[in-house]
Amino acid sequence: MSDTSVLSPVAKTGTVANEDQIIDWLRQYIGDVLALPEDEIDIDASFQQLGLDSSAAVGMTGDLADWLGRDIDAAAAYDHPTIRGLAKALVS
Amino acid sequence: MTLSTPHTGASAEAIQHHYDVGNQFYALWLDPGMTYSSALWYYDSESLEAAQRNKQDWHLDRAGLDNAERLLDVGCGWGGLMRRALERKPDCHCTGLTLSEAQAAYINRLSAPNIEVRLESWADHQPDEPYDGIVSVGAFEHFARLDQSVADKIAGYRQFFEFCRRNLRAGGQLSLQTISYENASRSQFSQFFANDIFPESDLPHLAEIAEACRGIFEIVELRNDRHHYANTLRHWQKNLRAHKDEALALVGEAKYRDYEKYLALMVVAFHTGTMNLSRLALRRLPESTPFTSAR
Repeated sequence: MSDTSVLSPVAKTGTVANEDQIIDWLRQYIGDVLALPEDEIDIDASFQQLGLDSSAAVGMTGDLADWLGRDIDAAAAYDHPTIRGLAKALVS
Repeated sequence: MTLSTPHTGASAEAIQHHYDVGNQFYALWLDPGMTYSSALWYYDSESLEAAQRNKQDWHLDRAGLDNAERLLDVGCGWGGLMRRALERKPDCHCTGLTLSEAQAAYINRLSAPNIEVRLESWADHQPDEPYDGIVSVGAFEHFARLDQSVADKIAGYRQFFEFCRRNLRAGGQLSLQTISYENASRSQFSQFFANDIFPESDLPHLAEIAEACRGIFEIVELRNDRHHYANTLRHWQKNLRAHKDEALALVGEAKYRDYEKYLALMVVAFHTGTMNLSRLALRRLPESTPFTSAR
């Protein structure tokens, strides 16, 4: 998986992020994984439509949990299958 | 795979690839009884250890432990189920089969009376006397391989059920627990699982189990408990993370990441229903067949 420390200097210590920040993190992350420019990543498209496979999805969830410094259920990206939906669920 | 045992699934080497990563590593994240299969919760508030005991008791009851003098555990893991059997019925004699040297060594070191562990496949096991009950939890997943045809796979499962009938007294019961395909097929089996985690193994579909035991065993009870496995895996994930430093020291970064990913993918599979966790109580059918009419 990608090196999340590049994305946030507070990756190891945990951070309090709002919905927009989580959206930005996910866009950057997915752009990095799929080698796509960020502005081509539709935050309302499903992770599957974007091209993430199961391994990439659980990797993303794990790296996001590390960045936020909290537990996120491994199946979160399945219950909330878009960038916007997942970000919303994590701040609600 | 050798010619003498054409249908027994994964080889000893493949089993050891997964289970011989090290007892200490598994001890970091399994429950104290070292139970490496789905637990069974009656109440959400129960601990993993209590839920593993529920699971063991569910199977032991269905294998008829209360009236058993001889019990066989096919794929006995680290022996937790046999130890539970002896807690409940100390005079029962338990035989456990495993292909993992690490597991066999672990059980032998405990030197528990009335437990005999054999480093042997069920296909090679030839007991002197029949058993009163047979339990097999989390072994059936290794009884077929992805490169087999479906017909060969079912024939292999059928050999297992024939083995059980041959070595079970009349009316004896078999209690079985296995991961199964639910809303997925073998063609979708992840390459990561196939190559890195469980080499040489394929999962059954419930219909294949039913077909394979037809005319040999009748299915008395069936529970599909995928949410229980998802829950079990979440406990393991939490334990593994809590012991990350020790785990890294034991197995290194790459293996740690593999297991982290494997547990997460399994949570997803059970949560979304691509895989299920099936528990079946099966009763040996009589060998008699209906009389045919002379007229």
